[in-house]
Amino acid sequence: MPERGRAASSLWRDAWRRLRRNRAAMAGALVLVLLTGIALVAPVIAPYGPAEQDYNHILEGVSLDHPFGTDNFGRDIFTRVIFGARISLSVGLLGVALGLAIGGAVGLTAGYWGRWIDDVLMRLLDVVLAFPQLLLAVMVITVLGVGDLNVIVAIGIFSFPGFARLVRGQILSLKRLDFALAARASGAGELRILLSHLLPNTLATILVIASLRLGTAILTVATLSFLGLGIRPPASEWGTMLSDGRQFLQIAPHVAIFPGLAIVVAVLAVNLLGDGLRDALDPRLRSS
Amino acid sequence: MAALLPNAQHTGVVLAVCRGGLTMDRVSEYGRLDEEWQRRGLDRRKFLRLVAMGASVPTLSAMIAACRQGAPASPPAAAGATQAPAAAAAPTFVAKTVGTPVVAVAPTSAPRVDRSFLVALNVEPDSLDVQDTFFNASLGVDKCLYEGLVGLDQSMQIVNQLADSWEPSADAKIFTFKLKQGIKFHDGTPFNGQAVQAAFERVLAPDAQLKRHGYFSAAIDHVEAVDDATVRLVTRQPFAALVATIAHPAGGMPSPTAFKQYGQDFGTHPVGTGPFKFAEWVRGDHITLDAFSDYWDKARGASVAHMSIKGISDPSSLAIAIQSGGAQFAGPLNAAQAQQLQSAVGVKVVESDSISVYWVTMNDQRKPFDNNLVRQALNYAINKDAVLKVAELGKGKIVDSPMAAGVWGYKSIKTYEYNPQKAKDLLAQAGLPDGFKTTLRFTAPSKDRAVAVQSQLQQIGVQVEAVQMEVPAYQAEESKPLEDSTTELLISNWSPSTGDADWALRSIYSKTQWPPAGANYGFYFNQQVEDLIMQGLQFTDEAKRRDAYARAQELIMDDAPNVFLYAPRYFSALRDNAAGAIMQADGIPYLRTAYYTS
Amino acid sequence: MIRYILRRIVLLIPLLFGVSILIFVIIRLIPGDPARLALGAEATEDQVQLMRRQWGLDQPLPVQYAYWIGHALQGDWGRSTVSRVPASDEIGLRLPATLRLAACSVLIACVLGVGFGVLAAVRHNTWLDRLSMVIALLGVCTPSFWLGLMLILVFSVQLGWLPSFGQGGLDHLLLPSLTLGAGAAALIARVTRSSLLEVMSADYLRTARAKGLAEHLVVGRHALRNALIPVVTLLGLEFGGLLAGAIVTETVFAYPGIGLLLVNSIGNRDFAVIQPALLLFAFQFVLVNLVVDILYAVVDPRITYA
Repeated sequence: MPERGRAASSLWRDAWRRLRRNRAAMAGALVLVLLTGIALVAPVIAPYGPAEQDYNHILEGVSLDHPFGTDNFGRDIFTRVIFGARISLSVGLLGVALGLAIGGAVGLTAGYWGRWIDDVLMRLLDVVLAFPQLLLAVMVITVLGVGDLNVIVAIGIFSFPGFARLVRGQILSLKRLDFALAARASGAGELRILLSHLLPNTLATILVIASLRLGTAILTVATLSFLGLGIRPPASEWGTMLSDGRQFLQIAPHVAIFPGLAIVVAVLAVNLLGDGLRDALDPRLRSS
Repeated sequence: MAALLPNAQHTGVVLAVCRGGLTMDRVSEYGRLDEEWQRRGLDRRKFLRLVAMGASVPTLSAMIAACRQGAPASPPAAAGATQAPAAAAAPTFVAKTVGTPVVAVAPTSAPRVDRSFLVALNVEPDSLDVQDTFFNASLGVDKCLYEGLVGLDQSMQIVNQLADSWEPSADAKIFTFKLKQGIKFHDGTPFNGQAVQAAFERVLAPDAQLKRHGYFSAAIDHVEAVDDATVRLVTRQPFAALVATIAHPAGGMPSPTAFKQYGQDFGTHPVGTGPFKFAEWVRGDHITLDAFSDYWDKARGASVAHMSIKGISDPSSLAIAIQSGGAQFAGPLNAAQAQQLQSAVGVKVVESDSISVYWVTMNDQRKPFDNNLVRQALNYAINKDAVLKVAELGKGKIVDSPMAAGVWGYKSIKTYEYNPQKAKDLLAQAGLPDGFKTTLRFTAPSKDRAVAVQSQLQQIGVQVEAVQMEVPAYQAEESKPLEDSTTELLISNWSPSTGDADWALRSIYSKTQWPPAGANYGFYFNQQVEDLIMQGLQFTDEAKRRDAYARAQELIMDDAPNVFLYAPRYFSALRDNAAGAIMQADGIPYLRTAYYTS
Repeated sequence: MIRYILRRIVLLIPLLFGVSILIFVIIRLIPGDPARLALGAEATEDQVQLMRRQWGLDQPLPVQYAYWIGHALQGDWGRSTVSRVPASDEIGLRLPATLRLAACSVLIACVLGVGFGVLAAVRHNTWLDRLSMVIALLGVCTPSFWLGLMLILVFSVQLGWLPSFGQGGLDHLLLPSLTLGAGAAALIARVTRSSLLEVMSADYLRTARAKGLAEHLVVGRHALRNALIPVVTLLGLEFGGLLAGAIVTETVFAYPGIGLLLVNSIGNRDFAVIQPALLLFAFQFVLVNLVVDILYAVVDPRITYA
């Protein structure tokens, strides 16, 4: 056991070293930290309120007062973009977390109990995986209705198969490693042993998958909102802002340009970090 | 006479685009009364108007008698506001009687050119089966393909189309129409009594699953073809509004041969008697109509050889379509596009009145909106100019009455000026100094209005959760009866296709129209207003009618059952070398007279 | 190997049944009475009840499913509640448009992706390489609807070169295909580059160079062929997702394909059209994944499948 402990901590140390050297990943991490920070302190640093309407400054272009211009309600787009970060990041993170939770539970159940439960759950997974992710999200929203919570559920539902497969695979390989024997020998419950060894081994992969999923999640939130199936108005979600800005493309394109840039920046940062994590934690994962 | 009615478009007859059944007093022999009226030197147009407003025979007789005596007759007692076929039931409108067209004949069309006229609408028609659609876009195309026994022209006047004349029976249950002769459908089927009977039987059959079934079966019991040139429409109850009902575009006559042949596919193979006939429909792309060379009214046929209709749901793209010359007519446009097109070359933007009004419905039977103070507070809290600016870039008119200025019977009452402080005071008075929480439901087109309203109500402490719903879901919710209703606030809109105060008021403010029967989604009820609305139908004296409606409007504005917003403008655009197509005040595009100026 | 392929194909059937059951359940979960929604706001009670009986909505769920599947297998999906056109016709009329869009997008993705990938690999570690990879990364991170709007802004609104909506000739296909294919192009570029780099340093190529073969022949004839294997499989996977991506792209460009049909029918609660459309999307996704898995097994015998 001490062997494993040392191996584990040196794994993380090595990974950290590798990550630090990856400039792109570090840049991504920095941007992400910045975005999170901005999202957290948004109410403090934003020059206006996100729902603050000013009917004397409708559809104005970029100016000193309004660095990103205003929309057709006179709302400051810069403020709304900042507040949009809160929504995208929180909904995205919660959605991925939900997917992890569900996937973990499903994978654990399938891997541990095995046999027909495993078969049934894997078939269920296949059925869910038979749908393109966006389609699944759209279907969930159609049934549950629009709103933040439902978007989180939708993201959770299309994310969980990946996590389920991962956890199940880990459990299966752990089982093969005669852990059952060791557990019975040491008197501890088999499940407890599995769980205590599950985490350190899978944490790395979970981290990588989760970070890449976060990028997809942020894109999905924006896409759903763009289709009118996402966050409720007047929330300043980036996708909704893009959808609203469509009709003003000719007279006020800035309404559509800036939220889109925000999405690109956020997803870029997450992907760079995710790629870097993957490279750092396990070069073997590159092929998966 | 002209002085009575400032807007010429309302010298016509009132029409009933009805949602539920309407009952009427027993009437008799309007023709006789007509003659009597004229003998006394009274204005015949006034007579027709009164008859259209629902004046019953006893009333008219009384009026004639009163004229003799020089004293106004008192109207019959206001009827109970129910839809049951009670004898003393709610009065209704009576359309004009022995038939000659009320208005002057429409002008002749421009000579036909061998060109195609391209129309871009804001949505693709759903079905060209005239008895199976509610879309304005579909109805616009239907008006090129079909004609009814009677119809509406582009200024919403009722005109005879396929009928030469018509006449109600003594009890107003049987309407006999004399049909024009020699008319053929596009497929050669002769238009005659049998065709009319077949067409009505189609929509009246409950297993037909046609969307207009409810609309017609509420009024009509059955139709008999007496002979080739005569049909009788028999109503369930005495129903004088029948002619108005079938003048709506939904009353267009489809060819029996065609709908028997195509069955459920008739929506993509429409056949009527109109100046255009159907050529093809490339679904998702465009519909092509050809000029019908054997159209019966030679002088008023199609002025272009082909018409191509496209549905473009993205507003920017709709504007681009007309800008680039890809279409000759584009409409309806939204305000942003209209503004942007003002500066475009080769395009003229047409701004037309609408009789459509937007407001925020409040569920008047539900706390806290059952309190007049709260309702008034909300009215003071909304900056209507701002909502107009946001949603329509300022184009439109704040309403100072439950109806738009273009509707007959309109009276300017008052607006609640923007006064958030007063709003807060009123809320405090009502026992809600800290405001309250509520939900506002709306559909996608009203999103800007909803967000603006939400933001303004926020200022006085009313926390509004704005819930956007898709049209079918929204309609399902708002149509629930009171005991099941979860309605609190709605963004609503109404366009009284009749152009008359009755349908502008009764449909929204009468208890007979409480959901699921009608459109009184706010469950408003005020006995006085109820009486006034019914009186308005009964009074034969036009001035009296106006007074009744004016008083009703005052009471309604005081009750503030809704937050009245504005009447928008309709925008459409034409290329410089095109004309003849326009948005009607009720939102249906009028296309059949489209032509090229050069 | 053959056994693997056969097993996968046979397993397809229960999978598709499972998918159809999931779709059926989801449709039934959507709030609202389908009959009332179909007949519109002015429907009479009689009409609604008649339609409910006709559609078997008063039957227990398994019966309804059997009824639906039975008819579906015969090609009868019912009629659209909006237009009364048979649902299979509505889909059949729009499927070619989406397929055209997908095919064009794949073409663009290949050309751009492989092009940039090869360029980057051949000019490894130069500014060209870095620039290409940055653009590729941006391509993955850009939401397709924003890209579409920006393309419309530049090419339709400002320059007026290309139409922004509808279908027609090649000019109507260009912007949507570019939008749809951009993400795939980016991924293909990255994979092409890394795959080509890996292959280019292989021993047998050194031999070819030693023999005096010109560099471009080395790359073109030997390296590229091997390098493209993972690219092809990636392409297959991406194609499956492309049809789903078409949902958004068609909405942005008002392109009359299946994606737009699905979005509209969901909004209209047009159940008759939603069901086969969803099934179509799922089916093609499953099918494409299966083909890719099989191709992979065929092409790379090193991989064994349990």
